[in-house]
Amino acid sequence: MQVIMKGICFSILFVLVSNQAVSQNGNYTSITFKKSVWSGSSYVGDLSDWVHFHDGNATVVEYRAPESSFSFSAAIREAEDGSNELESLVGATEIGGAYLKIETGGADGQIYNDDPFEPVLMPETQKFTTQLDIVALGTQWKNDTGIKYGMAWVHLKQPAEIDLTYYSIFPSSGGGAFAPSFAHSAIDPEFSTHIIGAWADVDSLNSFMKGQSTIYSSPTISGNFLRGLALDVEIVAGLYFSDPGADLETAIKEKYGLDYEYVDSSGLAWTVSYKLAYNLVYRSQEELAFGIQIGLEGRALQTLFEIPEDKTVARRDQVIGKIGIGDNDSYQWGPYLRLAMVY
Amino acid sequence: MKLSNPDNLLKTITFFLLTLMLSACEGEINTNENAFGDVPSPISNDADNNDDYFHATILTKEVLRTDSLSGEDMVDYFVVYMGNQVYKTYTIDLINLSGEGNADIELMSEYSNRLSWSDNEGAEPDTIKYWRGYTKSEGEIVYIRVINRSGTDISYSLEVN
Repeated sequence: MQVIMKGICFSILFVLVSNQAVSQNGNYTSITFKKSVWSGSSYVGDLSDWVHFHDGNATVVEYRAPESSFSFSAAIREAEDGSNELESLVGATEIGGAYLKIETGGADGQIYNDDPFEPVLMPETQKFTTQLDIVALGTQWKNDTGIKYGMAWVHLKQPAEIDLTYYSIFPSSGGGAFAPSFAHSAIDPEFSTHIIGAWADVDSLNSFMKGQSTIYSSPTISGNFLRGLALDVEIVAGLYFSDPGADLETAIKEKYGLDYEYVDSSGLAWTVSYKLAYNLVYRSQEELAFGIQIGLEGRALQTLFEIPEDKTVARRDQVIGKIGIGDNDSYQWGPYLRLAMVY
Repeated sequence: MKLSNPDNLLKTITFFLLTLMLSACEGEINTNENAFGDVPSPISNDADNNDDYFHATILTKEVLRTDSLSGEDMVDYFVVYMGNQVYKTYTIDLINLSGEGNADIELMSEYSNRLSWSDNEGAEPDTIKYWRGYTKSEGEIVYIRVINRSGTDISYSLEVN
């Protein structure tokens, strides 16, 4: 419900901001049928051992007015159980030469361990909500090249594994085979990573539909038909900092009687979203074109370099939590089919 | 090379990221043999106290165990040895609850993760049926938490089969 309300507010804001900017010619609209990137089988990497989403399909409706750079996209995700949720909402416009893009989205998931005896502390509640927000501000590189660049802020909230370090010697006398064990790590179901950095966006499809090349596409033209591969890429690379979501302090105190301390993690990270597709476009006139796109889309987020901060356990009843490089990496993908029209 | 040119910017970012991937490093958290203070000591089957994970009472399978809870003693911990590679369904029964009190049971792994629970109302008995199958980690002990929900004096019996 929160995501839907946010979506409605977001839509109203964008329509208001962009109302004057919409062009009457060269508009692009499309409908996309895709396997949701927030699906169990589409979520790979270390976290996939614990993170579970319903498999689902999403329908995406998109509209763009390229001359004003206004675009709007909404993805509705239908899960296997028939429930619907707003998976993502993207809006962009150009105001006075500055290009602004806002994206928000996410999905509900469940977290559990198929191997309950693994030394990992799992959260009490099994439900969590992922969240991906992007705000980008930049400018077009020349006209009709489909390339934009500037600065962006990315916020990704998703499960992460936090390593736990204890005092080195725990007494074992009296415990024997029944001595309690301490988990090596804890799962924070809603751990946030923020990235602020350079942003670049290559939008090949729109240029392709108009018979133009970008650095990642070069259509082959025969008569009224254009065909070939195209790659849309959006990259943000820069500084990251983290923000834990779970109250591990209370959980560890209750379970183990130890005082928990979290060590902040910051450094350099990057995120990329991509659409690799084969396009077939029919252009009947200069302003009218129909296109079919079959492709694969996905995204990845990686923390690459951490500003090192060494720490030592000072007290015997202390446990220090720290997220390691790669412990909240995210890799998602899914196939899609898009029908598009420029008019 | 002008970075305002997106082509150059992309090349720079790519080079920068590849360099970082080869030289990634992170801070280190060290254990400490000389740390000061006390550490909670895990002593199972403590005759005077089974109020937390570290002092759980050893519960023998197929033997009925009687204990009690009160307003000050809100939770009791028990530990059960399941055996090496003994795959079967375990039944945990909380019965003979006294008075109007309400107590529930939770089954925990040896790392204190909740595996299952039963939270029937009032003095109604609680039962957990837990299928122990093969897992990579092969945990051999489980913990049972008996929780006082009513805050009143309650006596109870607990049995694992």
